[in-house]
Amino acid sequence: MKKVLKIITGGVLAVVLFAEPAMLMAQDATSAKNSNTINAMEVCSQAQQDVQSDINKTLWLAIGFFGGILGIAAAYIVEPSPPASRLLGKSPEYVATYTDCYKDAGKKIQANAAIKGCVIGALVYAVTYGCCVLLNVGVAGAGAAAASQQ
Amino acid sequence: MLRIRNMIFYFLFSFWLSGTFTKFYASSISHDTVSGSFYKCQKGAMSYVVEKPINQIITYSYDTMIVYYPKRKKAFKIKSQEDVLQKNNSFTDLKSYINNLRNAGYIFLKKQKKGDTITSYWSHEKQKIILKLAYDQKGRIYEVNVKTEGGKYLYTMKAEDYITLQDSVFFPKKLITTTQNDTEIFVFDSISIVPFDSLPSFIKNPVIPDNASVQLKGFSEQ
Repeated sequence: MKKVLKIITGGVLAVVLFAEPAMLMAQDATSAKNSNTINAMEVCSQAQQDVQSDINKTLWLAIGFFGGILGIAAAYIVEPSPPASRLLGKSPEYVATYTDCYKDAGKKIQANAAIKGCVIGALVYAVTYGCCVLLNVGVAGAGAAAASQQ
Repeated sequence: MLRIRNMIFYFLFSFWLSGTFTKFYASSISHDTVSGSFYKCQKGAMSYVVEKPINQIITYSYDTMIVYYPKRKKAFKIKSQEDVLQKNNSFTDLKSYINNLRNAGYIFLKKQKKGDTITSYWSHEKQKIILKLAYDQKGRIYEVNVKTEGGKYLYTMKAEDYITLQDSVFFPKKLITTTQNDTEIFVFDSISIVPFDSLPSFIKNPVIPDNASVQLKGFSEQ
C-alpha cells in the first residue's frame, strides 16, 4: 500500500515539476500570440471611420460632375493612403489590416461621391439640353408663324 | 539615379532636425502612447523611429511611405500622396508651407494683422476648402484651421512652445491636431540640428534589406 502511495505521489510530483514549466511556456506563447493578434473588425471599423473624415467628398463630387465616367474611373483608381501618424507604434498585422480597409473604404467613398457628381452633371446637362431644344422649337415655331402670316 | 540626386540635395541644401517624440490621444483611451525619435529634413516629411510599444521605422521615399519592422524583418511599402494638408509635414518652414499651398492650387484670399499675429486665408476652388493660417512675424506657424466652404470643420493643427535652434529655425515642442474623430498630441523633446552623417542608416537611405519580407500596398504586385 505504501509502495503504491509512493508511486502515485512520485508521479504527481513529476507531473507538477515537469508539466508546470511546460504549461507556463504554453501560457507565455498564448499571451504573446494574443498581444500580436488584433481585432480585425475593430481595426477595420476604425479605418472606415477615419477615412470618412479624411476624404474630401466635395472634391470627388466635382470630379464626377465635370469628369463624368472618367471621374468615376479615377475614383476607383486613385487609392487614398493613411497618414503616417495613424500607423505609428502599430503592429504589422494592424498596419496591413488598417491600410487595406482604409484604401477600400476610401475608394468606395470617392466612387460614391463621383457617381453622385456624375448623375447631377448628367441631370444638369439633360435639363439644359431640354431647355435649349424647347427654346429652339419655340423660336422655330414663332418663325414659322411669322412666315405664314406674311 | 534619382535616389543619389535626392541624397545630394538633402546633403548640400538642407539640414536635419532630430529629437524624441511622444504621441498620445486626448480623448481616446484605446490607443497606446507611442514614443521614439524623429528625423526631419528641412523641406521634407517627418521620419520616425519608434521604440515603444513596438520597434518600427516610418520614412518616405518619393511617393512611397515605408513602414519597416527591423526586429521582425517585415516591411510595408505604401503608395502615398503627400498632401500639403497632411498636418505635421512642413509646419516648421512658413515659406515652404505657403509654397506648398500655392503648388497644391490654393489661392490667397486676404491677410489680417492683429498684434504680433498674422492670419492669412486661403481657398481651394476645386476642393471648396477655406484654410486659415496663423503665424507670427518670425514665421512661426501657430495654427492651421481647415473648413469646407459650407462651414464643415475638417481639422485644426496647433503648434505650441516653440524653441529657437538657429536664426529663423524654429521647432514647436507640442503639436495638437484635432479632427472630427479625435485629438492627437505630439510632444517633442531634445530637439537639435544634426549633421547628415549622424542620421541612422535607414533614414539616410531607406532601402529595405533583402532578408525582410515586403508587402506592397497600392502598388501592382510584380
